[in-house]
Amino acid sequence: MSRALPVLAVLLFTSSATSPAAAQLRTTREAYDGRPPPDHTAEDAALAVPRALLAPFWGAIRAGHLISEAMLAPLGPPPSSMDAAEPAPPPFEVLPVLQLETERTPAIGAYATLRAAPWLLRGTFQHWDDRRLEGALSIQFDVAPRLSVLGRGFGASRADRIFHGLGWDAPADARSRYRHHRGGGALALESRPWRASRLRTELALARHGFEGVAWGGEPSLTAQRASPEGFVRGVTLLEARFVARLDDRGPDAAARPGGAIELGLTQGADLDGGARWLRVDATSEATARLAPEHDLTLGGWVTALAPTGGETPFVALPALGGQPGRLAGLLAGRLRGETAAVLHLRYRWGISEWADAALHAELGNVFGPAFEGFGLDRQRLSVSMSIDTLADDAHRVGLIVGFGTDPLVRGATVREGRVAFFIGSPPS
Amino acid sequence: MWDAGEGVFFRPALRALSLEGGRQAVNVNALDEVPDSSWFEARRVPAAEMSRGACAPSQLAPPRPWRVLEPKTDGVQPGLFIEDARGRRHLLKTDGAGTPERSTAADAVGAALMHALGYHVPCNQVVFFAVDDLRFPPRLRAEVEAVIAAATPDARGRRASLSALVDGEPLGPWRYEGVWPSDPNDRVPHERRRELRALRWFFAWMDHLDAREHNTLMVWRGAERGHVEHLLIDFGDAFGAGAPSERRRARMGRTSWMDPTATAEDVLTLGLLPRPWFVAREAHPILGDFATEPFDPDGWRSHYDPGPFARADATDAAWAARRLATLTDAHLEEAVRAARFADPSTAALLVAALRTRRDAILTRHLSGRSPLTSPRALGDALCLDDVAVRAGLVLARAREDFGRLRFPSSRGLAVSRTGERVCVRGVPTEGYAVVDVRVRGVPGPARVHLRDGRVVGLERPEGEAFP
Repeated sequence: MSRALPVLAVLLFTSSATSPAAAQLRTTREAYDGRPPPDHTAEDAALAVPRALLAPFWGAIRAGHLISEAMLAPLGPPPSSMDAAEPAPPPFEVLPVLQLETERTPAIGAYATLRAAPWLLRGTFQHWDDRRLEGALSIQFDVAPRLSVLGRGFGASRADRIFHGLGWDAPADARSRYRHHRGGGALALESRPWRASRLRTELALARHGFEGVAWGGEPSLTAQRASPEGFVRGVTLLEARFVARLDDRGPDAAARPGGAIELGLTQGADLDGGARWLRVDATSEATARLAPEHDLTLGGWVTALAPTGGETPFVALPALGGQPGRLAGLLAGRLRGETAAVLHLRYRWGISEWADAALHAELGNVFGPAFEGFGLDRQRLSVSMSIDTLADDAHRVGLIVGFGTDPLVRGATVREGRVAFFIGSPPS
Repeated sequence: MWDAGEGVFFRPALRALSLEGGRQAVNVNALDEVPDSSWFEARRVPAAEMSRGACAPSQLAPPRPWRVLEPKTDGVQPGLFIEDARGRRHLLKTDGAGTPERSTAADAVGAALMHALGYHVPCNQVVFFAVDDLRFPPRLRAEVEAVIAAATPDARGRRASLSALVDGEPLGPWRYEGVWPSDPNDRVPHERRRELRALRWFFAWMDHLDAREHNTLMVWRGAERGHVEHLLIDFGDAFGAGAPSERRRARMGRTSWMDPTATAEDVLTLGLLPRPWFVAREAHPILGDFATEPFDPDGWRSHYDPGPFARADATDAAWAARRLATLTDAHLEEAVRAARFADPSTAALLVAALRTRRDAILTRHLSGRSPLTSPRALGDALCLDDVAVRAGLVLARAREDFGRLRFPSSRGLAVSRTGERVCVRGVPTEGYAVVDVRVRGVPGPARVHLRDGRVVGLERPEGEAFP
């Protein structure tokens, strides 16, 4: 290693890119037609010190440059993007995954895709010491151009889950932590009859286990409060779900004006505890184009869970936080209740050929059975800004910055915020 | 992939951290011109020869049948490598699924224009062929049928562009930065070559967005004592190329793939700044918005900056404008004939767009520095040519000229003008002398250095007050 460093330094110093230091010495090379280069000016002298200070950063990027050249240059030129449809995706891809989020355990990993029509296989793996380990494998088989069978298996263990209690008034300072183990699978049939509309039937089975753990100075759930339903014994959830979505936009629906309504029905059961429930989700949104690359979206989401036997495990209850349309300024799982409602206003604009920025203003909260306790003054406000590339989950890069408030009746005080950066799928 | 990553991230980052400052091009002679080299030749192509571009007369209309050698494997448009009946090899490309006629037209016309501007390019031409013209082994049937299907049918046959494989041994693409250590003749860092910096304006003129290194080629010319020649290849995306989405098309040529400054501004201002890509425009079915968009020469952007573009300065731009001014309307009309459009109105539209965009570049960059060029001493007279008048941007009678001897003494000189030619009299014919010739309304003079009555140098200082 000690021998390699000087060699690397010489390589960096003398490489063809214009190193600030090498440029000073390369006078013989740059002399042209017998004349000295016009570089040794007062400007050069004035910049000598700043250049020296920046040299380490230059060297680091130059090293990355050389490494990327060695790795990527053999892959050939980028496809010309002219006049044609998007180039077909490669049959096999492995891409990095990174999730950084305040008050959460980070994750790094990889996302792999294998395409062999009509089959599509995806696998993802994320990890961060013993506090976070997640993996999933999905398979899609296209029975017909607009009809697919999907299978999915997953396993995860995360020690950074949060629980603030149930209901609309769960206070910000009542946070506790737990570890969530889960594993299971799902089988679905999906039809896409028109534009971005779809019909989906799914059967999912998953085993969930929990344990109280402290995290970052915050107490474990078991030390802080009485355990919610299903926490101590764990649960095995069997859910049959049907989703119908009517969407008049194209496949890249998020980037187009138009509207959508979606209705979801879920029949769930806890095979261990014997509880049963029915859950209804209704979503609607309409997007108006204000100008090219400038859209305004108004949307709403309402969900209600009705127990039909026994006490529903807490992990099956509707939750808010963690994503646009669900109070993105709060951490995922921040609010849990039997019912929830969110009104969402989004202003989205283009910031590059590949990315959009969006401002999200959301009003909503969770409530008791049959919206017990619902009131306008019990809503929480979430304001967030996101930057996100226009790509599928494998190729996304994004940033979310936001905050959420206490319920309006409690003064709408800002006591919680969230910053997340991700490569791949956003944190949840 | 690496080329894109390098152009989008590494080069800009390294350039920013180098604090380069403004470094001028170095391969410029004492007359402020680029000497001929393996990169560039200051050729003057007669208007009547424009349509054949870099093709020798014998290369036009390659005789049939064409023997298919192998399919083209890279790029989006389907194509074939073929050998004509004389044994010459070509790359045959089609318009593919994009705008009909545009890609093939751009390949031929783009090469013709770049050839006339002085660059080395292959012989590109639009051809029409019949299915029976192709001879191919059974193993290539699928590839040939794909090409035939992608070739726009016309009463004249199936349309394609034919690019002759250049003579010599191909050595791969050249780099837009640094030098190639294997070539001892390659002494000037490419980012400091004026002709490569000036490509920024020529590509803007043609809306040639795809300034990838892969669209360049080094070729070994000659035998043992040969040299490396540097070519530009593949102009198929010029003149209003489309894109897979309306959003990408609207941004093409107006912002690069990654523009941190524009992105930061748009984030901070919530997208409320007026941007050209936020304005919806109608697109021509063949030429896209090439013929309809308002053209801002300095605002044009390629997909990513290959290196010399960001370093180009006003002197490079003025040189580009002087080169561009050598192409008259007649040159443009004749060059566009190479496109062989089915509808003459398309050709007329393309000529008009090229003319408008050329004039926009000339107006912008012949007004910041002296447009006087080609100094020559005739006894005690010194004459120069006014490129702006020659290009028809201004009328000669609207010009007012001044002459002054700066060295060895300072005094006014008599000046006269005949059309584009400006002459001052009373120039010393012995010893060293410096003469300023200036056009009213242009910020700086043409400063001519003479020794014993011979021109030895020309400067174009910027914005210097007339003494």
